[in-house]
Amino acid sequence: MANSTGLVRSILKGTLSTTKRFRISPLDRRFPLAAQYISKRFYSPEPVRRFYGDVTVVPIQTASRGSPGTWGVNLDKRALRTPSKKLFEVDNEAVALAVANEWAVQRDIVMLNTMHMTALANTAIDNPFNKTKFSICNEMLSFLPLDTILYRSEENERLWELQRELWDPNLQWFQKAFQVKLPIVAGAITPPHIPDESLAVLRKELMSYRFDALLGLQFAAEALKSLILTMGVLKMHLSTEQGLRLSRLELDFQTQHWGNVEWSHDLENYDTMSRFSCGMMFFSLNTFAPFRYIEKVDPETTLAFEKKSTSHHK
Amino acid sequence: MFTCTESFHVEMSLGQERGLHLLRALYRELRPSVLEPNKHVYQTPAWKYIVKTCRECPPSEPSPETISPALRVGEYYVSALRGTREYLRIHTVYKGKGERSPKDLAEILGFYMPDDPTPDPRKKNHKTNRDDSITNTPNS
Repeated sequence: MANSTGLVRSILKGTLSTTKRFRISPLDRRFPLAAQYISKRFYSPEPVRRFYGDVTVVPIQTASRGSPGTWGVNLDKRALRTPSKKLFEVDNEAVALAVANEWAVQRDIVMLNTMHMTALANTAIDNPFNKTKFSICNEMLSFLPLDTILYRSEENERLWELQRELWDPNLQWFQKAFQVKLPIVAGAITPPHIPDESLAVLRKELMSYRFDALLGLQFAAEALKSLILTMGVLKMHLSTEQGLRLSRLELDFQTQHWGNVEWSHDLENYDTMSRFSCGMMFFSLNTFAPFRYIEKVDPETTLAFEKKSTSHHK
Repeated sequence: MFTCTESFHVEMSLGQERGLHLLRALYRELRPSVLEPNKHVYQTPAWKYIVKTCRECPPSEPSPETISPALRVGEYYVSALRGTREYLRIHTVYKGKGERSPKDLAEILGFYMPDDPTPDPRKKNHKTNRDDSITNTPNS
């Protein structure tokens, strides 16, 4: 009450000024820590600052017959570890080099949200949700009815024409390449029904890839919001830029009419570009021969082994 | 003095041209990753691996539609590095300063913090960065 009396008198006298400072009430003085904590909000943890100097790729296990060898990443002299505290160890030198480059590029603050190769490699090593190839395939195929290309907008005639002109050829290619049928939905809320035979064919295709490769493919498809366009880029029907441009067809149509906001639209576009490209790169590095170790079967050795095994049965 | 009056044109296949263009793009994108002043991109393990892969993979393709896995991965990598670089550039330009600390907020609004020492009004020469003309004594 003493505070309010002084305040009222100063208002009546006209001596109140916004530059004057007021003492906090005795209640706050009795609970100083409470006053501090009430006004403090815990939004996000402190950013991780760069705590290392050199980033190097080191071999952990040397390559031998039947084994590709493994590589790790060292930050100064400390080995990089995954979020589950496991040693970061990959059987692909290219993946290790890409991860090392992501850590080397960081300046004052380590921007973990831009290190997609590191995230993918950590997910492949840790597998925190105990996923299997089958579960990943099911997740990707459950997303297929919500594919970008299968949804058409009939509100705007020009947009409808653009979607028909640019998306239909890719949809027809996909249906022809995989012998599937995918219906189109226009202006509806419920997703289209995809026949079980089509899903079975696509599941067989996806199950033929490795677990690590499927993680990269799922990451890329989620970035592009379209499994059809992702498979188009994978099978080299489309280039990376074409796939990205087709996935944001409606966004580009709207921004050309209403204007482009750099800190929103461009930021989203570049984020999608980096996520999609990292996902496809992770898939390719874990699938194709120059990067992924594929043991060459010696026909003479195989033949000798078969002869030896059949001689026992005789 | 010898003066070159002829223009040299190196015949390259489509794959070789594409590979050369890709190598240049990779060099441009990998340059920011080298922080040491005396180090060059050519000395990094990533560049050495790229060059080794280029030598191992055949540069020419049978048709423009097909592309070797090395070229494909290289194009993905260039796209990933460029996307990350542009994302960070825009983020740096438009990012906010963050939330003010309770102490900064108190200074703007004209409040004292609980831990701040109370200035002694008896000392006339006591200099503070706060104005104590408004007091909370009952007789004021």
